[in-house]
Amino acid sequence: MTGIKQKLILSLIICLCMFSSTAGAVAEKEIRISDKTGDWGHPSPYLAYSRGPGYIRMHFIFDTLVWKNETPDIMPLLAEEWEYISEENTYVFNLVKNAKWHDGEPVTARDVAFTIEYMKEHPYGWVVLNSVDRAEAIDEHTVKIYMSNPYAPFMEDIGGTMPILPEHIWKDVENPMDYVEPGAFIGSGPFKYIDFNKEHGTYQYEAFDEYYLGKPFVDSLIFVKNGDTQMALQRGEADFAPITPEMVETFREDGFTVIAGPHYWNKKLMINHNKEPLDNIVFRQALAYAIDQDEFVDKSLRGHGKAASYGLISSESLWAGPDVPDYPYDPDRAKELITSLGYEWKNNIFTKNGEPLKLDVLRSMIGIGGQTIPDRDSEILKNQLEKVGIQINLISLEPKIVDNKVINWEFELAISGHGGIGGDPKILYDMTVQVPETKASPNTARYNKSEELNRLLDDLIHEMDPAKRREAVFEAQNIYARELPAISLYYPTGYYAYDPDAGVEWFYTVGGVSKGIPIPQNKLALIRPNAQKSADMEEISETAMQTEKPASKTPITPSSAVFAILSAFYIKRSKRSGRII
Amino acid sequence: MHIRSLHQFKKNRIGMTGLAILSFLLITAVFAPVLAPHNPWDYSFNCFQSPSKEHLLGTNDIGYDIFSELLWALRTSVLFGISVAAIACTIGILTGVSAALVGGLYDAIIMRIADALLAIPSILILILIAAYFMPSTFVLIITLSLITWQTVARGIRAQTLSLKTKLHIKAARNMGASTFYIMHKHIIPELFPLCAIGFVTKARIAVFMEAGLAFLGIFDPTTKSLGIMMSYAMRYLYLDVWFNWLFPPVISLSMLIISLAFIAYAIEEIFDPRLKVR
Repeated sequence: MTGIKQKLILSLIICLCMFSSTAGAVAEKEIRISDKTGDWGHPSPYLAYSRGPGYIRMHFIFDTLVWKNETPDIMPLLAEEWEYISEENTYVFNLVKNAKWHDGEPVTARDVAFTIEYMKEHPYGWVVLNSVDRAEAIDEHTVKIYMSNPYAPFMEDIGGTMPILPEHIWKDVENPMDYVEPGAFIGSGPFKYIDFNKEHGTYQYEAFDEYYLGKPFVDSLIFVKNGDTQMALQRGEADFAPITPEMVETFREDGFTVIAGPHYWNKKLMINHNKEPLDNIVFRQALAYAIDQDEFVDKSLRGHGKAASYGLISSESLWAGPDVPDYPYDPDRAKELITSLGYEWKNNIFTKNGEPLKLDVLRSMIGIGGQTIPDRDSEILKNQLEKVGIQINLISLEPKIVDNKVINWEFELAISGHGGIGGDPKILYDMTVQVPETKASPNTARYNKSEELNRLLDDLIHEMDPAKRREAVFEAQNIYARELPAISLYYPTGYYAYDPDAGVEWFYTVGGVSKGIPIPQNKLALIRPNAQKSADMEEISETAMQTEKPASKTPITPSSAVFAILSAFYIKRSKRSGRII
Repeated sequence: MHIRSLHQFKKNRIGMTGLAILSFLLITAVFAPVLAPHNPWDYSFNCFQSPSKEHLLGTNDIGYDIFSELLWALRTSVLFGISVAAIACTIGILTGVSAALVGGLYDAIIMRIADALLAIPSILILILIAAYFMPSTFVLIITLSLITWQTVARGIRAQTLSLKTKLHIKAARNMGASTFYIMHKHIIPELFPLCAIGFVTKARIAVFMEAGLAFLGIFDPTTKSLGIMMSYAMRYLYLDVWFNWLFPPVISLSMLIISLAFIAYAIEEIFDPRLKVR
């Protein structure tokens, strides 16, 4: 009798041990993304800092109507089908039936209509709804958007950028900029908000079980701040991070997958064109001639990049103009142009009325995707401009302070940069004119001195005929390059490295995420968007299971071993003392 | 008295070591334009070259010759240190001595200002001023001097107060000597050791602050500075550049600060009988 009992207990213990070791194998899967800045604002539409990384952190929580992946076509997200009715100038979207908010409420057409109304009332930096008249929920899952004007970039610019807000939460929010309650983080995206720490610059998200495209195969997504992101990757503290060009080979040798980005980000010289002498087109052209773009690429990027087009749109974009005016490096021509403005060349410096020609340059360490990088551009710029007799005074400031000064016109020249130049050409409009009733962007030149440019930019927005629109885009680039509201300097090549064992296959989105953010952190990499991809993913996640870090198993397996030994010891002792269990 | 002290200093090993290192660094700094093999602002060389005959310490990320940059950076540090020390000591001595001699309300006001400044951490003020107003190096020197003179002033004032009661000063006063006469004929010469210590200490603080501010990126990036060199080198540490890029400025800065500390220590030992071992 005792023998049977003992055997039963022993087999129970063995079962327990086996169970606990399998529990170790399905340990929570966590992906850590590292960057240097950390704090990009709360991950809620109105609170995220208005640069690419801020939007990226928000897009894991909030879904848009449509989305993009590694192909140029627009793909469904919250909307499974859509149609443009040209006679009515309306868009009709059919929403997926099974989408839910993170608090369990269903996502309906009313939420979409509400979002449009709400964002018309409380302007949201990433989306301009001037051309949208109103939106109407036709039934539970169909929404019709009435346009007041034809708006060519609608699908990418609004459909693929506007985060849909839950009506039941936001209808009571009067001032979205002050709204930091937990409700601000309820979205319909693949990840739920868990925590954000401003001081540490960390974000923590958890997979949303009821996501309509299937639960993400990563349980926990964490953004961490690391002073040295490469070191964090090598030490295993992060799974995905930007790396410097010099380290590409080293990371490949160490088994990381390295992806090189397209040239959708430009370093840009912002110009205060309201101030003398920068308000003169000829002077700005002289600056362009004085600037040697290739030297920036050779020295500042050490060859890992490309000289920029003066027409703002990336020369790698599908929308790049074929004959945008160019300013080959020609310091003599620059001097000639400056002399033509009444300046006198004296002791290697230009003077006018006895005053030397002197400009302040704000320098910031902004790099591709909003990263902080060591800045050498300002030194190169100073050297190049001083060669043509312009005295330069460099002022170092934090990127965010530079942004503020530029917005308030408290600058002469500022070295800044932004992405989005590979997506829809609307970026040319956004970065040239100040859209009325929107928050000023630090990257927008706010230039409206050219009637012709204004007209072309207008066509770029409203022309629904693709061929005519293309023509307007090309011509607008030509005029932009001629008038130079700002000067694009170069496109750096960005590199990201990830550990393939972590199971996520990160990719660069064609034209950039949403409006054109050149960061390879598309949420689709973490879910299963289609059958083909999901088959691949399964394979990857299986290998990931096998190669799961032993560290996550260890706390459970030894404890079960200890438990088994203790139980065996207890049985033996009770047998010896003759007690019946 | 002064001759004897000089003799004593010569016998003080720590002091002489400090002096030797400092003289070497000073000579290097003064003759940097002659000694530097290349123009430190010339970035036409290839990036990240290893040390060679052409480039003793190699080149950096943009193509500057690191050795030339180091010499010029040392020059900035030394210049900054000496200027701040000279200005701060001058202010400190003048206010200290005059406060002690004049006394009364004037003394009270000066000393309360000194107390107030003593309570404020100077590095914070400097960072704030540097970050918001982006002043030139010259203005920074003046600012740092204006917020660091108070320790000198307090020491000098205390010493002057005790000197004031000495017999020979009283005698001079009784014979009709003016305050100014007493100050420059009797008091300042006797205050020499205190001034010397003050000077060296201020120089040390200034050198350190300059490197610190530059490291934080608050300085004009085109100035050559040990702090700027370190901050850039730190960003490329993954390329194994520490021995030719990070190490030289760190060593130079340490040497400069150590030599000043040694000298200050030696002077103090000689003039303060309580510290005397022998």
